[in-house]
Amino acid sequence: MPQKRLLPFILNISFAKQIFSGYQINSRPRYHKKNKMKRGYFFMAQDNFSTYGDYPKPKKSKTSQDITYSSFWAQLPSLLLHNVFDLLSNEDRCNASLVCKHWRQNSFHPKWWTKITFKIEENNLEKARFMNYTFGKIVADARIVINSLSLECMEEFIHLLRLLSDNNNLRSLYLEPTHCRFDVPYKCINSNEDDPWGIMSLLLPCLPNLVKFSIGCIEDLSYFIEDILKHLDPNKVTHLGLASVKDDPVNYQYCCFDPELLAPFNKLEVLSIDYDVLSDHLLRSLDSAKQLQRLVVHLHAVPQGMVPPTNQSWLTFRHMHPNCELRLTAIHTFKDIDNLHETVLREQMPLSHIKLFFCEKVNLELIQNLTNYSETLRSITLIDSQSEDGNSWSFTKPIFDQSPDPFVLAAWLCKRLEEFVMYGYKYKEENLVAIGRLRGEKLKKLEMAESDIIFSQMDGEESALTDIPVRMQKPWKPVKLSDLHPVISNPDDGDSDEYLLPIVLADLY
Amino acid sequence: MPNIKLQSSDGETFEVDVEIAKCSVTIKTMLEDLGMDDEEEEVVPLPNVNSAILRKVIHWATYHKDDPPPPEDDENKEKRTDDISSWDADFLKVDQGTLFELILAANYLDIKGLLDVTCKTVANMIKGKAPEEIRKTFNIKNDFTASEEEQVRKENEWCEEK
Repeated sequence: MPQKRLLPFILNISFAKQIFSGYQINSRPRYHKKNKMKRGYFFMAQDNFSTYGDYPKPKKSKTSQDITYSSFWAQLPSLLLHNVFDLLSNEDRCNASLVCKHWRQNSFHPKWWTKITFKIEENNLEKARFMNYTFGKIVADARIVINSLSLECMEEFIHLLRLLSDNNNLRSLYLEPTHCRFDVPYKCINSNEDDPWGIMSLLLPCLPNLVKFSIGCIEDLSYFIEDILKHLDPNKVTHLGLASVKDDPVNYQYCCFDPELLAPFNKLEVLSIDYDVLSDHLLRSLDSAKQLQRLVVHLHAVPQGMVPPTNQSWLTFRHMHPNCELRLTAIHTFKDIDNLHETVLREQMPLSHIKLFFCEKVNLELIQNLTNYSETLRSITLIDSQSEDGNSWSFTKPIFDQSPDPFVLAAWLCKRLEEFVMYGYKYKEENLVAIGRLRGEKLKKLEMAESDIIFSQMDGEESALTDIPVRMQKPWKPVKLSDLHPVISNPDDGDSDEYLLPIVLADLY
Repeated sequence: MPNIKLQSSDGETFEVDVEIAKCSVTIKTMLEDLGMDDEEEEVVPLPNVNSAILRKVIHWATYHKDDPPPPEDDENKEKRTDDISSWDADFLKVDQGTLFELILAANYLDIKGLLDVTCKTVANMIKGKAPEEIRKTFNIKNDFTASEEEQVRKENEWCEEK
């Protein structure tokens, strides 16, 4: 019988301590970006780093010499212990792992720990270290949630990447940072300007085995897309997140790559990219990806001189990918929001989700045009901060505009609309009630701040609070001010990345 | 059916039907590789199995000689441990030392059916028990110090957090 080999789990990691004498303050102006960095020197806690070599470090038992008898079960060969543990549930295996050291050492087999979320957060670095060193070399599906503005967390992240780059089990790697950029210590900047942390050199060895990969919208990594595409195996990748969020949405370096590099990726199901690289050529290069279900496009600004795909190209794209949806996400597009309906929207786009984050105003024509996508549109998200004095900008139309409310119109005409989320704009209660009535139980998500609703003293049964739950056939309430994300209730309080990244990253699942 | 002779670590010889002996992949391979044919009166030495355990193994193999070959393990399927036949359950009503040695012997002789059923028996002895109860069941000494135990408990909680 072919025996399953149980590789003893050996923790043998030695990392050079890197001590940085200080770090540089990034003083670029940013919109809705919290300046989290403090000036000063940075010292690492020596205690935490002395345990790197062999975590968890067993302390010598004082009584160990006295113990002469130990049951033979405590010495069952690893291979056989694995056979037994393989028959247990996670809970039973967890209990068994606490029995003795030998059993514990054998309870971390890759087979039982395929999916791990590594949370690298400032308040629990001890946990992060344990998770990194225990699972970094064996995990198959890794999600890395990381505070990218903390130097300490970045150190841990680099150590984790080092372990992952040596992990042949790794199939899925999703980065989920708190911000779209890394904080970079001064010393690192001097070493390599493009990749100060050396992240790419650690990521590249992971790529050839991956089925799913996302750069986590990290702007710094978006400039390496060409390298990334060259290292991935086009016959493996099903989910690929290459879209970014820009730290400065007005002045940023356009990332570009040869669209032909995407052509061999025939297994793609979900792809996210920046609007900047969208072209007829790029859409054509996706022809071989017959199973493409979702194309996610992040729009920051409309680059001058860019030639976006034509309506005809989108028509061809739809023909090639009848089941593919387009999710368009505009992030901080305040510079170009006024013309988006002309510069970006094309009638033949298979638009299913539109998200507008912090564009600072509503482009009414854009919203009105959404009814062009009545066959495909499923979700509308419109997010802005409420203005500083605690009031929202009012969602108003010019007096001469006699057309009905565009969201009500979309609710009426878009047969598949199931999500409507709007923050930062005053909206009339009666329109909200109308949307609830038009969509009924098909409406799965309806989110709006209580303070954004202009209540019109409607009668009990007619009021949004009473009528909408009845229509949606489930409990519904507007969001209370205290439950709003800080950046929504006040643009100066909090960082928009913290709010929007989890939402846009979810588009890859 | 021709017989072959198996010799235990303590020198006792057992005469067994070749087909029964061949349920051990180790013995089967040995016979094929060494080209032992049926006429020769050769003895197969099994230095890792004592006579008491070898007798049990032969008893098990004789009862199961007509079993269909065990199905290949499906890695993705959750394995059952409640499907031990009543004959096997009776057969394995032995002291823990014997059970332990049967597992080692089943592994050494490469008898999948016996290995499966012995491991299932051990797994059933672990299931539903707290660490301290498991230690009692198997008479295992807790070799963690108090602070180590606190640490590993904390680590297990981390592992369970999503």
